[in-house]
Amino acid sequence: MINYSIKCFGVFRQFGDTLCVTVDAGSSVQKIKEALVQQLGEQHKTLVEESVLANDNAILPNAYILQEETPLSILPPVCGG
Amino acid sequence: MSIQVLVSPDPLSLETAVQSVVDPAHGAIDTFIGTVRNMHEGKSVTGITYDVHEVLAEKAFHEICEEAQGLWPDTRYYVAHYQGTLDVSGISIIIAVSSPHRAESFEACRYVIEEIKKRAPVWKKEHYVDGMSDWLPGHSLSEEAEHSMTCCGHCQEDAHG
Repeated sequence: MINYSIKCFGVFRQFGDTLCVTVDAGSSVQKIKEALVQQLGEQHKTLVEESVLANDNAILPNAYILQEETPLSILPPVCGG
Repeated sequence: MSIQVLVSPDPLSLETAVQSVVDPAHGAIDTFIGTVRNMHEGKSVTGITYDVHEVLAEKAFHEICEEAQGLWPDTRYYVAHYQGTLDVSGISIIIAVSSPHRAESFEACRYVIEEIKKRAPVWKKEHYVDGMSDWLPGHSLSEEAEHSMTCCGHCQEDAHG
């Protein structure tokens, strides 16, 4: 099992600066998002589904497999400018 | 440098933006300045807090400017986005684009701001006169994640379709 610390941005800041989820090693980004829904509650499922996870370099596709502990961020829908 | 981008907690400078894209071969500079509006959907706004993923926002700004350079060659770009809280009329973003002739500057500047709104990891929390605050809805980056990334080598089989 791997514990991921996920930095919160935008509307996710209502949950604090970071969220922590624990998933099996070799889990996909999708699995981490499902673990987040479990933690935050079904009422936030749409928000999590519309959001993306990122590492320090790039936004990650839902199918991306994470093999080791790495800092992540969760990015809700954007509205800059 | 033909592209300069930054995220800053300091007030943004139009003079810096313009000076950054000055080129003796360019006869046009177009600028876009985004400011905080005092009204949104019938609510009186007192200010906006801008939350930004600095690294990925600057990366997105740069990628968007590179795309624009592909569409309008021989153009120079400056993009600065504010991070933090601004009062009404505060400047949230400055974009400057220079080109040999005016048409390319206008078009490229419009392209850059429209793409930033859809693709840059920046979020707005509006503050209202009644003391309440709301994070604004926006564009999901899901499509960006699934389709604009070349295969990372760590995806499940067939993930990229």
